[in-house]
Amino acid sequence: MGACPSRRGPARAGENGLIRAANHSSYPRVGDHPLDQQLRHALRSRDRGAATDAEVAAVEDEVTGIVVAEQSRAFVDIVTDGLVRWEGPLSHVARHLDGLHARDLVRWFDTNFYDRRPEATGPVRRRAPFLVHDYQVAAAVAQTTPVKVVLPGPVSFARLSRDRHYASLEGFARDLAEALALEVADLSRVGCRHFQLDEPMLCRRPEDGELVADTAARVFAAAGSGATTVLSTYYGDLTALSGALDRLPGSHLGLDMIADAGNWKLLEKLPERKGVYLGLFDARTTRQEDAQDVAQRLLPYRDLLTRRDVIVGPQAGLELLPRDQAYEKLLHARYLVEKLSREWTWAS
Amino acid sequence: MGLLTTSVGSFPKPADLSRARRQFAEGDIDRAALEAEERKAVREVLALQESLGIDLLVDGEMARGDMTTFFAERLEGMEVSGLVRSYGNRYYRKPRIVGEVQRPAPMTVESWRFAQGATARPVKAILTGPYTLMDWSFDEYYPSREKCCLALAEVVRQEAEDLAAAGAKDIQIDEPAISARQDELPLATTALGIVTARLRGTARTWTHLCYGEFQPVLDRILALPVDGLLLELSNSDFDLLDGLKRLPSDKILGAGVLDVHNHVVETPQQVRERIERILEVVPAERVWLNPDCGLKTRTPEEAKGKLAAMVEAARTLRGSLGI
Repeated sequence: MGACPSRRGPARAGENGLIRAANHSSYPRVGDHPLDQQLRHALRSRDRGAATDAEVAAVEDEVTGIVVAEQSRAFVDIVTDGLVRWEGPLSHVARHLDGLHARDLVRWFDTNFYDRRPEATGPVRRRAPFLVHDYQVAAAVAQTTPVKVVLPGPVSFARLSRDRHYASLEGFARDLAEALALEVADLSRVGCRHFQLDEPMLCRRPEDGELVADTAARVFAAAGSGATTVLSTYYGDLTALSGALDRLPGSHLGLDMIADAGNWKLLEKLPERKGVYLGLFDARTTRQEDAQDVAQRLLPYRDLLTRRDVIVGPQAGLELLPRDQAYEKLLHARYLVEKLSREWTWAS
Repeated sequence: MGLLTTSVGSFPKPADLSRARRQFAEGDIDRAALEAEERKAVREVLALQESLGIDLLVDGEMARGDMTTFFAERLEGMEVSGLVRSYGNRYYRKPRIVGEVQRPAPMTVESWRFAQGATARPVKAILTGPYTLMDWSFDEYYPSREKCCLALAEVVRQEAEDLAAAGAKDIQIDEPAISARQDELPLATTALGIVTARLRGTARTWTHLCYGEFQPVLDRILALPVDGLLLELSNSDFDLLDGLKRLPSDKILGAGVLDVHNHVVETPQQVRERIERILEVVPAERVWLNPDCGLKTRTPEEAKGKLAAMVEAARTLRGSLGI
């Protein structure tokens, strides 16, 4: 890395063009220092019957504050709560919705991370808000920095679950979307303005495009006007949908620029004025990208990027990295923003 | 003889050993003191398996914190990075590959010799396979995954052949990552083949796979270049059962009949029912019984209870089948 960002503040240079750095979703909840392992110890204590749910929840709040502060120290413009309470990308939500149970272990795509596969055994319904508290804890620490709330996309969730109730993917996904829309509406009421819906399966199942579009639109509608809504895809590309990108809802389309070269060509197909989240930093390797190299790679797309809202960050959750490496990825993302906001002219 | 019993590898570490590992990490005790605790724990876990009546024993991987980190700490070209979560509240120090991978010395031969010397029953030697070592490490050195995997295959081959030369008759090369990228299955198969090629006629070779989407590639999995496959079946509610009808006739199935990700200890009757489902598709003489995966995430009481249920179920079923 050539230099660290030296200040906070918006990188805005033009009327409509804007570039910001953001965390994608998860952030390592445990670090290498013994003092950074309090959540791990609290969960172990609860397993042994030596800690209560309330005691674990207090530690989760504390760790949320720590990871938000750490993202802020990396100078990113949009942080998350780090998903520190999430046992896994699917099971956490499954545990909070009626009709779903977290069952057998499954690998999370081609990573060495495992989650419990949800199983639908009845109609999916939301029991109660389950992310509002997490958001409020993070927002209190982040202060003026926006906190993005991340939700699993209904179609990816349904695709990766076992269905013993619905006869169709569509019915399952639509009920999930209704449950998530209720959550988004509650989050919006308490001030959340940044939402991300993760639909990684869209890269593998482009035939789901219409259903993803419909269900994501339903969830995003609950965010209200003016909210930042990112439809995030990763661990693959969307080239199979290159002619239908305008159908995908959200203020921003999230693209994985690491996993496959296809998404680079897709930049030219982005609908006019559509915002884009560019996953330029590999969340699965300790190799650190050089902002200079990344900027060079973006150069051919300067004209089409500088007239839209661009967010840069890791291509997926950072939890698959050691914490120090995750932090460094965010530093590089912010440095890229500093560099491009200085060197490129961002205009309407 | 059919329905023999074994384990996948790891056992829960006794409290004394966990304490010694912490003390060693903090520099409070030396390596000799740690190794003394490890050997004590190995003797205990061997004695437990003997007392339960397990047929093919393991050393419980008492010297290993994690199945990849252990090897990374002993191979040149590999380092260990910070803690990374693997699932739930489980973390491991994920290796980094930072140079040409080489094996300066045997890594497991002495510990296998020690375990085998402590029991009259056969002890299985267990290694992590090259594809999993690659996939579960951060590679910062090799220009391609293929080159990385094949370099690791060479060092695992050396280790496996040294184990065979030391007298190990059963060698298991774990490849739980093998289904991660189905397009790389040919690479994983080649790498495993490099490891096992020269063991034929010297040692029986096994591999262990778990918690992946094996169904789409099951025929390729069943054809992996080993004598036996230890498969997780119980946790996934026997999803693979129907496909196991296609198990090649020269292959042994190590059937996962204990769910190691559930605190509930199965009854012998429950295990027996699982075995009976397996026997509908694979003949008893080619079926071994084992837990779904390593037992290290269970308490010692749970591990013992689960294994006892498995042994009891095997015993009664062998009796009723006249085996």
